[in-house]
Amino acid sequence: MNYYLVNFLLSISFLFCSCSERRPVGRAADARYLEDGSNKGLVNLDKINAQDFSRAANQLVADLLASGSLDEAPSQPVILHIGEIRNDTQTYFDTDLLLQGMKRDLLASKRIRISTTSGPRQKISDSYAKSVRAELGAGGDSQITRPRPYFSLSGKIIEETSRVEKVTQKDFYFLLTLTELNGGTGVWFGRELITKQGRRGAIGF
Amino acid sequence: MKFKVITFHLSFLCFIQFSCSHGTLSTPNHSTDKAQADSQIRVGEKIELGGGLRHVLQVGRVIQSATKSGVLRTQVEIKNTSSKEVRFSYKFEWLDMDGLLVNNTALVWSSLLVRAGESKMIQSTSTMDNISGFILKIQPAKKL
Repeated sequence: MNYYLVNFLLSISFLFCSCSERRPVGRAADARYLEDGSNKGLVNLDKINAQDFSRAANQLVADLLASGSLDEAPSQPVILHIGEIRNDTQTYFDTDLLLQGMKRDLLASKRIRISTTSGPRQKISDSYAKSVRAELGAGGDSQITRPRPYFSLSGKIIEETSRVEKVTQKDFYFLLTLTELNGGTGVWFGRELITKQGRRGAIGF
Repeated sequence: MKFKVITFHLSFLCFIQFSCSHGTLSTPNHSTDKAQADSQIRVGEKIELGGGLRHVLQVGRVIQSATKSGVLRTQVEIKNTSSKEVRFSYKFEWLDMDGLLVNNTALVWSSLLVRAGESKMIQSTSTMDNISGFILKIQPAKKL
């Protein structure tokens, strides 16, 4: 009798389990969305997190706009070429994570326009636009203008590690240089330091 | 036994009343609108101190200046009035002329440590020239 009862109950529970919606069970099911720039995001010691890129971009743009270097150009808005930003850290990432935020903020300031068709072959961001412009220019299209960048932005990101006992400190330096193309001299040297210290990573800060 | 329960309930009610009257259980966000008060201010400002920070932090000077290119720089002085160091997170939200939030890289939380009795300036720069105001949000940092 007991045998049949157990069998019946097992069959019923199996039926319910297989038909019901599958949901993650337990404390491990805690995936969630975070807004951009949230203070609940992960903080890793060994890499640059999303909030670090945003903070560095924000501080560098603020410093560049406040320096007045862009106002030195004879015509406004000034055309800027974005050159190479070298990643000299131990982890791989695309430097556009830093640059795209900076480009958006700089364009919003209405003080600059960013050239996307000038530069070395591998470095231009829109090769199609460049080739179309070249064709139209060769055909004598009068609508094709050839504005020359007045400034060029380049730089690098450096990582430094220090350790005392079990505490690690990571210093990420974001170093950018704005060069005036006519004179070939640097007119702004941006430096933003993001320092993290601790024994291991954390969730939020 | 009954007397003990009644006494406990009464003391609990007294505690609730005391806490509410002294603000410990009041709304956590504290807003300060000084736009009219300070003649130096060009745009509206709102400073929100959350999570009981208004008991330990004091907002001092709010300085605003426009750069040559028209973008606005602002610095807000925060003083730690307590006897312990305070770590908090903050972020600036810039508002355009229509009162809409400007989606720029300033929308990121930063953390700051202020020692007992110390004042620190926190600053931000708007990336647009058409700005109607800003909101500075300050929240307690995660406890380590």
